[in-house]
Amino acid sequence: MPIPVETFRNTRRLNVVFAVSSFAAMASMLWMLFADFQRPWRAFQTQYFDVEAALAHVEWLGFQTAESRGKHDDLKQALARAEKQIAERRGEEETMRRDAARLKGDLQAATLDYGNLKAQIQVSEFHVEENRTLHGEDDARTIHAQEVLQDEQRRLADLARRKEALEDEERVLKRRMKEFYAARDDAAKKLAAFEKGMNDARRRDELYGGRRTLFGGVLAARDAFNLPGFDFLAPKGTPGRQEIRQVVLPDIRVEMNFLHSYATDRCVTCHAAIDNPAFSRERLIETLQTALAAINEQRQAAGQPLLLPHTPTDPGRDAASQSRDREGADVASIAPPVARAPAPAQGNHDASDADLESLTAAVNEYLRSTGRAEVRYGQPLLAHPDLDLYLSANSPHPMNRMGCTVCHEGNGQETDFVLASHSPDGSRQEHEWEDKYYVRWLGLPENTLHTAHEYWERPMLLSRYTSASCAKCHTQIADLQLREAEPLPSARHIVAGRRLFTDLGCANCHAVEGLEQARQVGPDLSHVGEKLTAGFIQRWIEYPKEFRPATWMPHFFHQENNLPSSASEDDPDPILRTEAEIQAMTHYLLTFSRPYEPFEPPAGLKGDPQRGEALFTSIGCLACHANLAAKDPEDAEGRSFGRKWIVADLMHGGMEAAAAEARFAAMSANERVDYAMRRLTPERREAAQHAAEQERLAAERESRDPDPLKLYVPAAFTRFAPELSGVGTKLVPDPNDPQQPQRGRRWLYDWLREPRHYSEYTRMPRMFRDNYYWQAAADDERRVRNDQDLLDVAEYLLTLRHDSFEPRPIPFDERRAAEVRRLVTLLLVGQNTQTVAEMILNDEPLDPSDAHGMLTDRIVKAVAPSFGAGGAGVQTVLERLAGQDLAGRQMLFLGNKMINHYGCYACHQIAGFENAARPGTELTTWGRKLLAQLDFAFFAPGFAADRAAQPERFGRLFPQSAEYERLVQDTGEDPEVDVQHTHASFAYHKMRNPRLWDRAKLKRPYEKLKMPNYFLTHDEATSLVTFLLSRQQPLVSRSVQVDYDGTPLGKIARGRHLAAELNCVGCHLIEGNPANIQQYYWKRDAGSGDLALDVTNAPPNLFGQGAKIQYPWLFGFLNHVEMLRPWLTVRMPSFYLTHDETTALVEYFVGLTQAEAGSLDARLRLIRAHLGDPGGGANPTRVREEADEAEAPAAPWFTWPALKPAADWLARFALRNRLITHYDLDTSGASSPQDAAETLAAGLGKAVERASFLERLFDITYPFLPEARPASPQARYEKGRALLWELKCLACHVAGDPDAPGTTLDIKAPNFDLTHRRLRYDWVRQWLIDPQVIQPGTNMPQLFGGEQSAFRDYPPEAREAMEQAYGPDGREQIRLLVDFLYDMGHRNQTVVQPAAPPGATPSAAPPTDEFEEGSKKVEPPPAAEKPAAPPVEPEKKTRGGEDEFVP
Amino acid sequence: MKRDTIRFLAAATAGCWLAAAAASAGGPMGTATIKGTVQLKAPPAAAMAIKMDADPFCNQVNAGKVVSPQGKMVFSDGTLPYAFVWIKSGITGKYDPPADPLVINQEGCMYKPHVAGMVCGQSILIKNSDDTNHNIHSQPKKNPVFNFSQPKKDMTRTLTGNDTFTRPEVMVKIKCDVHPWMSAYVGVVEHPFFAVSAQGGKYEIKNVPGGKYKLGIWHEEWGTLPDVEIEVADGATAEHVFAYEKKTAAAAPREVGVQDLGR
Repeated sequence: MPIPVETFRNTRRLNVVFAVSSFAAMASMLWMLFADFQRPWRAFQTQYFDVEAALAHVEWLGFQTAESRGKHDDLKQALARAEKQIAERRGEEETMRRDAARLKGDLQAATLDYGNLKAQIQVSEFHVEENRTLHGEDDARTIHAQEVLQDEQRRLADLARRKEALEDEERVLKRRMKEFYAARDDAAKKLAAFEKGMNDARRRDELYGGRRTLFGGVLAARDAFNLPGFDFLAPKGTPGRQEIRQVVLPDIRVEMNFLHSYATDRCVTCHAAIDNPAFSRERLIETLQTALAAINEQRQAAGQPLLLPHTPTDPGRDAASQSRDREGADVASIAPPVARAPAPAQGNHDASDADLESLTAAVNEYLRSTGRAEVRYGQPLLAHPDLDLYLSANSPHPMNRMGCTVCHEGNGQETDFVLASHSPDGSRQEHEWEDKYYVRWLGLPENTLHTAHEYWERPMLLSRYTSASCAKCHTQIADLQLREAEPLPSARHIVAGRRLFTDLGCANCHAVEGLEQARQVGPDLSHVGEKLTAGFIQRWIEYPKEFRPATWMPHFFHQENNLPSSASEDDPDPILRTEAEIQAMTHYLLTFSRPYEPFEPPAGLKGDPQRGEALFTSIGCLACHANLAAKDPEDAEGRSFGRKWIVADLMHGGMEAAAAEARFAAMSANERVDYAMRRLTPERREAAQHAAEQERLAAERESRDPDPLKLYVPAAFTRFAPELSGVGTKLVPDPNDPQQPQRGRRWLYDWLREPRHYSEYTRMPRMFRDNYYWQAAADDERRVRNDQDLLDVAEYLLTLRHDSFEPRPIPFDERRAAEVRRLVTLLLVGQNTQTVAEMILNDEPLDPSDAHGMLTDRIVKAVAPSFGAGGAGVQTVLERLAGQDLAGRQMLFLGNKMINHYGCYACHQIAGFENAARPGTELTTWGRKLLAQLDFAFFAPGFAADRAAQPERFGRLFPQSAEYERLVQDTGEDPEVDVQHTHASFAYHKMRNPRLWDRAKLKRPYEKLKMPNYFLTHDEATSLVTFLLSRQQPLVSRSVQVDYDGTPLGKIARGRHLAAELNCVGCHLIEGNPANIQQYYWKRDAGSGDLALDVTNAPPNLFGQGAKIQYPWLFGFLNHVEMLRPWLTVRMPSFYLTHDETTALVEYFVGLTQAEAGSLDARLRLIRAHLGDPGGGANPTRVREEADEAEAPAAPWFTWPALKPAADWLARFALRNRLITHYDLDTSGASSPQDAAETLAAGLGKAVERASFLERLFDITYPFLPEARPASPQARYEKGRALLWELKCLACHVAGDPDAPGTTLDIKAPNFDLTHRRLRYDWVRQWLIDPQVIQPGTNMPQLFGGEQSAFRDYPPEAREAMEQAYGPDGREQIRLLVDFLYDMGHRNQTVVQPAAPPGATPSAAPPTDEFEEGSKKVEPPPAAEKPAAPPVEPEKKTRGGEDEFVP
Repeated sequence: MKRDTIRFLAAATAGCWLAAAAASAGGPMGTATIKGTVQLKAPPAAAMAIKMDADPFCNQVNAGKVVSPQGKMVFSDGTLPYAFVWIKSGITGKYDPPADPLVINQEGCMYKPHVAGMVCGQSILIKNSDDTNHNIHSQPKKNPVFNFSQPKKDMTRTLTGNDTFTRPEVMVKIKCDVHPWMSAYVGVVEHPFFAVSAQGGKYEIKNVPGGKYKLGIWHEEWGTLPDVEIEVADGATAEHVFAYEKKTAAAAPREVGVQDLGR
């Protein structure tokens, strides 16, 4: 069949169509390839490799300096020298080798013989057994076999000895050989390490392709294998290859449409340098500085002008000192300037930014001139700012395990900036990003930030909220708290947010899983009628800050949705409504206030306010309460704390003394408190202390006087408990009313004596305890003294007046009565018909036969259950209602409804609301709420245009109106409002102004937002938002979550909350916390004029407490304090702790101590291993080898990379705990680096020794075993007592009854009577060994100078006699003494120092006077009051405190 | 075992230090003398008698005398003892510590001397001549802290090497915690040109090389005075009279509290 040639198609035309379409297809394929290839991330990677190439070159340059070459030569020569030395001692080497060979043979033979004989013995043993069984014990054959066996065993022992001898010999020889070759091996290693570094740099420089000239020269390899279609040429991971990089994280989950999948983070595709330490600021500066030196060397040689001959690091320093610095840099860098690791200061950052910029510019000038890629520094090519903590392989959060999005959130799978869900900080940044990062086709963006956030529910967190993610794994949060040893500034907000959430009472209104047990933060109001007047309550509710600017009580009224400007048809007069509501609530509170059973102040005693003030400022009230009006007892002019603090602060701000005084005088009481609250924060004090310390050291180094401005340390104002400067006005609003002072005094007396009488749950402890006066003999005398103290303080508090505050009640007139009726009706009509509502309002019975009206009925139903079950409650309520007229009952009804509406009962205990549910929304999973569920009201994106059109209405955070001005003044700022459509922004604005979302809305009164305003600062709001954002499903596997169960961390986390709640940390230094009360104990030393913490009189430091105390004792002590240190005026209060809480505190101390031992062990183990301590644990050889790799042999151990971090940490630890001083590590006076190194070696050596001591002390096991009771025989007991007398311990201590005759009149140390039940035996022994290490600065002398004999300083004959009696060994003497102390306690004995034998004192010659006029002769003074007692042990009187130990 | 190793290390460093100290040459001694008196031109501070009831020994040994704090002592001619005068700057040579130790004796429940000077690194001999318990507690800023007790008469201890004061520091306070009134002050200086004012408020610094110096003064009760420029030729004697008119704030307080910010 012929091929048909005719077709129905026009082939020519089709050919054209084909041609066109194939070209089109070709073009679109190319476009597709291009579009697929041209991704934004490639640009970042190209940039990264460019910078890498530049850095590689720059690093290689660093090896080109004369110095480097010199070092290289030195290393080579050192090796040659060492080899020559070996060659010179060839004969010795030969002998050793021969010996080694011989020994090896001998040892092999001996081992063989030994093995053979051992096998033979087994056979012989069998023979013996066999003969014994077959022929009996006494048979000759058995005896013979036994003889053979014994002979063989003797031979075996001989062989073993020989083998061991040979082994020893071999060991010695090996060591000798090692020493023989040591110098050579050492030199070889150093050289190899240096050359490795150099070759690596060269290799990398070549690898990244030297010159980058695309068209001008050879195409760099990396350009080739990045061409589209050719990228298969290089395998994945080849340096320079552009590729998507990712980490796959099995432990981190993401939720995608109800499906959980493991996270895949591709963030590293763009953030390519994120885990590269070479891209960290510090390393970069270092690299560039070295390179610049090399470049300049070259240029100098070539006669070219130098590039930036001076780095701007420190313009004041001359070149000579710089070069010296470089020499000693590695040595000096070990000595941290201050105990605390420096806080990340903004200032420093700026300085190093400038450095970096000028350095980069200089180096780039060179790179440009050689046609190379330049160094660039900035996002996304930055290393993580904290690589020690995050991302690096050795950090706790390695990148390949944790990834990025686990903390930062966002969409890790995307490689596009927008789709990865980056979050802009404010609308300005949003607009910048739109311009910069949107991928646009034909001018239209592919994706917008808005759509990205719409479809990805977890957008990236702003950096200030990132710590919200910590809670995913650290669910207890408290373990993230700033510990002095491991400061965690990055977790600041989550920790503070968690604290604020309970401290502010958020947890009282809003349920959050795990915080159900949070304490009610408001005072108990169930007896409020016994304490306050109606006028005070009303003014307080209306405007708490008017009476007490520092209060945590939030504002419910005068907010933007209940100010007159918010009036509407449904809410015609918000102020009238406010007043009526407040009156109703007050009426309710007072009507249903219950009496309680207070202690009556004793008749016949009268308080002395002056003595009360002295007590107030000395016994410890100031730990929790600030009081600006109190006089500083230390101040010669009797100025108040407020005046001193504020005047000094104003002067620090630049005012002259007189102007500051005048300014202070012009401030109102509220302004003063406000100033103190805002400016004198604990954080500022801490930072200033840090700065002052640095300034002092700098001044010392530079031998100048420190700048007094920089030494200024402001006081710290605490808001833990109410500020008390106006408290008298609260209790006695009208001093002219004779009733009020009497009532105030009675209330205060009871409150101070037994706070839980008035309030069932207050955290105010008992400061006044009878047993503080155990020195006073008679019980009633103690009682009287205690009562006098109580009345004095009460009287003092009543004198504190707040004169500008007028607690006058709001008059109840017809207008307000009508408003009450209107509001009651409003509340009723929803659920009742108009008629019924009317009837209820008028309290008419529904059925005429009912006993009382419907309004009464409702009140009774609501309140009766709190006044007793069944009829009793009803009866009581009816009795209270009996005196009320209709208006009164209407008010009670409204009051009940309002307390319910505003949720007052959540924070306060109020009758009728004992079992009410929490008024706020549940927040356990708030962070997981859909964005659509958050009501942004008129601040939603849709209203943007309307908002922009009315800036006066929507532009500010707080409404701009005259009415609101007073409140805004309190907050001190009125920022612009910039609401982003995110969870964080919603929560932030809600925190700053809770009623913001009602702006411009028309609502009925009880539909309006009612969350109160705390007037939080930006920082506080940020912390709370961080906590809220953390409330979501963790989405991480169990294996990465922190284990709290039974671990020290768990114990710490639990106890830390409690220690903060009880304010233990307000008095005691427990873990480096700034204890508030310590600021009152900085005293000026008369001699030196220096201010120093008065360690003797301040509350004791509890560092290491876990190793010190006995657990059962602390149980009793916390709730029933007994006298430990009679010389203290500050008092430990008695708390109301449950068994569980006490356990938590004990375990907290235990956990801290164990954790301290753990972290000491981790560091010291390495160091001790180096120092040649076989017990140290780590393999010393390994550490040495690791360290040897890079370092010159002369480098001191603490500069080796393997040991430097540990040494650094140790130095900080030792400084912080005053084991050493800054001067021990001060190298400023050193004449050479060797000298400096020696100083540091000595200082660190001391630190190692003392820290090791603490580590042994702290290494405790828990639960504790019961303390052993050393029961010595009588002779030993008496010997111990004789030693106690000999060492004159009783010159400061008491042992038993403090009133026994002969006891020291000036007690300066704890009673030995406490030792056996209070202290752990081991601790007491360690304390005697070195009290100065356990408690630096203590008055307790080092009796034994470590573990030496206590008699080593005695005259020789006396020493001999003593050591014969008590043994020459210090350890034995210590044991004798401690055993005696425990025995004495158990035997319940009192011991007093015997009077000296007659004739021994005084020494015949009276002391000589240095100067004639030094002393004058006078009549002999009367003899000492107490006669010296004979050395007898009176049976001790029963201790008053004993029975109080029953919990 | 561990302790021994660490001790060895510490001892080794101490050894280095001592060797270094011995190697340095003694600085030049001269023939000039700086002397003068220390006067008080203000009403003396009221001195309360010390109550020693708590320790029967101290009470008995001082029976029949009114003992007042040494720091408050003023001679009837208005001169002050116990002022420490030293050359603060201008000395260039390096000076070895003298071989003899500084002796601090506890006698009659007082430190004798109450104020003394020593050269850095000089050893200190502390001795108890009382038949009662004393503890010796140093409170330096730059130098080693020690706190040990001497419960028995005639006990002695010599502090040398790293245990003594090796860094310049004016003044180091030494106190006894058992007897709160007992204190001694030691001025640690890099050279031997210092003196403590004695009877008649007189002080005298001998063997000074001729030159121009700054003279500093310190007194426990009355504080410091501005440094004095003084020039003395070899063989000559320069005189300066220090006069306190009021208590002065000590120089360079270590931490400025709220009450101290005056400019």
